[in-house]
Amino acid sequence: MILSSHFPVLIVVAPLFAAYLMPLCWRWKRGLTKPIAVTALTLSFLMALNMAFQVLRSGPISYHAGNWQPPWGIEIYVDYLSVYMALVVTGVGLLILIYSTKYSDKMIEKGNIAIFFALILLLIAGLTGMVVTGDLFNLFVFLEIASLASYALVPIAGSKGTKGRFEASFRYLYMGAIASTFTLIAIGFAYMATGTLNMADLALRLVEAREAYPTLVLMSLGFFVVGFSLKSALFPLHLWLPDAYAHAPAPVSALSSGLTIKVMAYVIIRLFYSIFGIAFVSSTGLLSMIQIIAALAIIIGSLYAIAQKDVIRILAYSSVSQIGYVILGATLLSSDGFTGGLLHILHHSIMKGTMILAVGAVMYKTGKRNIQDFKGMGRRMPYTMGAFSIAALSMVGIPPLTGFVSKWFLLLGTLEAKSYAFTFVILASSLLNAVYYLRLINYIHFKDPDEGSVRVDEAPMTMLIPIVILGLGAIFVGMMANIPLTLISKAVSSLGL
Amino acid sequence: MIYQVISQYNYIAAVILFFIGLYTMISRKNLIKKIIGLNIMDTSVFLFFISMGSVEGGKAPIIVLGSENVIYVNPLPQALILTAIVVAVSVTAFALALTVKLYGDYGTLDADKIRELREEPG
Amino acid sequence: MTEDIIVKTTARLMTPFIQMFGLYIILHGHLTPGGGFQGGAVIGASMILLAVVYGLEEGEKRMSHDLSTVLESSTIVYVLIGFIGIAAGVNFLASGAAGIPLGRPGDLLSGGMILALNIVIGFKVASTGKTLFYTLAKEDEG
Repeated sequence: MILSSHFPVLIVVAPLFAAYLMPLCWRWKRGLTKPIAVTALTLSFLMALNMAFQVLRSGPISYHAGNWQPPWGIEIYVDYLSVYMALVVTGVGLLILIYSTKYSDKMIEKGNIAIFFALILLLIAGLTGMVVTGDLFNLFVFLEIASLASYALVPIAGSKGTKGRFEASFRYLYMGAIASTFTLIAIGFAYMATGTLNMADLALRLVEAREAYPTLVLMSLGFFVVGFSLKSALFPLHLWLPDAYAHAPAPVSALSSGLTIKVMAYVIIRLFYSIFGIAFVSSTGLLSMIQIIAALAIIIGSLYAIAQKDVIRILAYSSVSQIGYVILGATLLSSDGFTGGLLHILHHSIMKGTMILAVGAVMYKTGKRNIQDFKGMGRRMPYTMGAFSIAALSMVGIPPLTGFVSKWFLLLGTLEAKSYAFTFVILASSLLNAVYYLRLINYIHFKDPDEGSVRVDEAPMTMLIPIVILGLGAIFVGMMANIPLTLISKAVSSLGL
Repeated sequence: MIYQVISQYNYIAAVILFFIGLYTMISRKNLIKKIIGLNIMDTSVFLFFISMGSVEGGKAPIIVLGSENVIYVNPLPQALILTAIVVAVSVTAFALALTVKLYGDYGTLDADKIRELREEPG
Repeated sequence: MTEDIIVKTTARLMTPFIQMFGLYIILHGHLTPGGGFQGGAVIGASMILLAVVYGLEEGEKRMSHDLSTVLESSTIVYVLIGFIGIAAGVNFLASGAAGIPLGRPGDLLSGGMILALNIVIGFKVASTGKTLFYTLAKEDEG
């Protein structure tokens, strides 16, 4: 018995198992709650690392749950792209979880803490499940686990949260439920056309089904795209996102911005490349439409971000813009563009994670998060704000930080695809990013704090360490981009670009 | 042509239900009605799946000794819909819990009034 | 709560039968239509009936919050059952391949681990249904 051959399923089971232990622990052994949560996710991350080496060494892993052979049983299929996403999800998720162990003491209502950790673990389990599964319906189940957990995480702060938290959560749920229904209908159409739900099998049978039932296949694709555009907050379906982020506790915003919407974008990539086939998608004309939508998302998200005063809302609209980069890169039909899009997933998870967690640390200390309240913060919380500034600069795309590398690849991609309009969009958006991020940096480092503002010092260690690790990650991934690129380039070539 | 359309009345019913649900969700201001609309929409998808897998004269897909030659309905859509029902129940329960909280905070179930009340300072 | 002798007596008489029926659905999930979720929902409904008729406190006495917390975490058992497969050297949640006797189709003890999994799900769903109702009802009162 080699345990490592079971990692594809255990990576999902570990956080799931720990999530159900949380309420029990809280009731009888309160001190164990947080250590168990962190241990479970650490195990998941180590398994993801191990799987990355396994996949790099001997190719994709296929795991049959319950020893049922695919296409009848549920297959868990870990290829280069899955393992890359699994690493991002578990790695960034782990850091955010460590941060929350301290954050939750002060910012979450006491009675909700066990549920808070249970939901975070469920969210990460759901996202990991979506990434590794090879079965379309299984994907839906994990999608729902992740979505329900994230709806419930928005108002989790209880009496310590903001006033509009329930309304934000309700709107998120409302949009999310429509998206889920759309996804379910799409799965129904796909099953009707092919009679299978296994992704690999589906891809094979869709080739015939395209001829036999063209309408069904098109409907399925359309419903999928609308559903997951809603879930990944692709413009113009992003309306739920800023409110949900503004009212959620900081680690939750970091999780949804850094991981949830990225995994939803991953599903779009998976659908286009592994299931429907990118040639078919582009022949329907959908691809060029999505390119334009993504370009609009990039520009309009940035414009909205400039107009905001609340720092979390700036970051939220910036997420709307960044998801556009990922989608644009994935739909450019050029290998460089795709590489850039995938690298942007990692890049944006790290950056947005750093920035939202840093803002959370400021809120932890001062309880405020207006742009005015950040005046002079750089002198009071030098490490937190240092990490924030690195992340912000990286967002703008200053070399040698990671944002530069992913934008470079995206630019090469647009040139390769001869879509010069998009080249311009990416350059213009970098300029817009600079407008609002440099304004933030200006406030933080070069302005004197207001008279009578709260005097604060550095954030507690448990919160500071994840922020600093993520901030340094920005430099590290930028300087040594070849490490993630080994995985990404394999993923790109295995998906046929 | 018309016969073909009418013979697929189950799908037509599902589509009608779907749009009733979607319309209710979008047009009603009352949060409870929105949730009911969501449930109608979910139900339409259940109907779509179940009728897709059904076979005329089909039996419940459970193998008992000596019954190998019976026609079964397709069990897969049923299994999927069971899961989808669980999901719908959870979503509804959570939405109702939120509605209770919203009513406690604002004293109304009208989505527009809640927004107005929220935007008032203090 | 108003005193209503007919409703109370009917509920008291019906509850054992409803719960027995729920258990039947759970235990025969692999033989007849039904299973853990359906049976669990029936049992949960019986507890909701008790709460509606006798009031929340009385219902809470029959099944405390602690107990339902434990039962809701029964999913842990599901995962542990899944580990049997790994321990036997085959895959997660494997049943027949893990050497568990499959029995004769139609017998109560057949179908490998499906019965055990159904029981776990039944408890989970019953306690979740109960908790959902009680939590919502309490929110409304408080």
